[in-house]
Amino acid sequence: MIALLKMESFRLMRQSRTYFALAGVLLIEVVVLLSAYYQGNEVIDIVLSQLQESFYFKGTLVNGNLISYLILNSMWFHLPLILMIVVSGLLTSEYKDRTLLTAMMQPVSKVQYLLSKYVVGILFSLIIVLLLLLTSLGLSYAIFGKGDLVVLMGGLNFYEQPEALSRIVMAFIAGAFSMIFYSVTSLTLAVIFKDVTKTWIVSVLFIVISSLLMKIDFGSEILNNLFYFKLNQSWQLFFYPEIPWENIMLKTGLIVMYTILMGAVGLLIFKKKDIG
Amino acid sequence: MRPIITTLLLLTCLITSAQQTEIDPDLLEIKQRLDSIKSFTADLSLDVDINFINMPKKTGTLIYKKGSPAQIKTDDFMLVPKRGLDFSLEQLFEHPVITVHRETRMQDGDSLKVINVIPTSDKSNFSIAELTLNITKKRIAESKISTLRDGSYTIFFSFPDRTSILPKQIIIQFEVERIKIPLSFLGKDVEIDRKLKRSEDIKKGSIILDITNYRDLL
Repeated sequence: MIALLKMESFRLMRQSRTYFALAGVLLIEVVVLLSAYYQGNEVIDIVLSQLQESFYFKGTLVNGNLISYLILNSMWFHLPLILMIVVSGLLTSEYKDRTLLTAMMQPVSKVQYLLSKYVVGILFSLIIVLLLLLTSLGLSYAIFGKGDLVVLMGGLNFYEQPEALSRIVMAFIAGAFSMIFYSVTSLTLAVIFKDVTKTWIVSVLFIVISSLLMKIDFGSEILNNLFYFKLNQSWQLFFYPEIPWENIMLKTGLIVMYTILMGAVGLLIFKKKDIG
Repeated sequence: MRPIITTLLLLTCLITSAQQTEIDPDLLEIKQRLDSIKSFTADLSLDVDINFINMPKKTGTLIYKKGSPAQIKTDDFMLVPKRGLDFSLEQLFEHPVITVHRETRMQDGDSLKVINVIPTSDKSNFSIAELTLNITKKRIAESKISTLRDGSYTIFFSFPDRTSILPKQIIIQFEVERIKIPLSFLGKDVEIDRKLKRSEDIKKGSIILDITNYRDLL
């Protein structure tokens, strides 16, 4: 298994799309950072203009914490897309190059073979999220400095620097679970569809439909908390004044279960499927 | 004829001796006490008590120089109230005013006098103010000011001891209009209680200023 993991990691690092993906994430981040700066100024002006009747403002709210928070808001559509393209490529490229047939002739278990891809895909997702966390905080603080974070969550909430940073980091950690779910799903889709283009199209559809379904109210708290597309916003809960830890743990637990389920489905199909 | 002249004289005496005076002498005395303070520096702690704003207590340094608005220096982001930092009542007396005595009462062993301050000039930026003067301790206990453009606000003063003219705590109460925040702002897919939102158009809020460690007092 260790040898398989090393091999898959090597394969991932050799893929040019991996580096395109990393560059893409950074480029999107810079664009989002710039637009967040202008959006942040505009929205803060709108909010504070209504308080100007009663208050003067000392200091600025357009700082690294706010920019990082706006990057958080924006990345949870673009990042899953990039991850799904790269991670699904771990399998679809093998189908395309027919190296999978060669690999299956070796004394290696099909389940272990695919499981190693799932593991490497998960590790890659975590590395990307970590890279995004470090670069967004680093760039935001370097350019905009530190300060209070203002968030609209059940009221206008202000968080001072140390607390703002810890909430942003925890939000990234919560978001990482969602990214892992999407990565695992993309590999499962690759198992089902095999073809690169088909897998990409279905992956995009999966993300778009998930985003649309997320906004539907099913009229039942159980249903609203049960479907996977309702679970991907748990990172926002860290910005309520009182963090609802139970709710976060429940949502995170459920997304982990969905991830395991997706992985299990992929492994089952791959095991039963005739590779030839 | 004689009763008419007597009645007219009596009326004139009543009018001139009525509770209405140019400036109440107790208020003038308190203002003189406040005017004697040329400058000071103090540590400030500011707490925002408005139910849709959740902000931690902020600290800073309050710098007062007579003739200039009080300044607050801080490294944090702070919502500094526009009203309540006029320690010498300069804004009330910036233009000519008259005072009207409303009532005098006892409270906790102190004699309190309530007077209205009414500007006589069109240039004044307030329409009427109600001051509660602590006659026993020669300082202001409370002030309610109705401004022409910035709404009304009430200020409550607390003092550290019987003789101090500089407060240890100032509570400023005012009305804040419902903030119209774009729903897409910084809270993706936030659930909004629309009925509650509509019902809370005007909110009352308070700013609580705790002032300690007065120094550089001139």
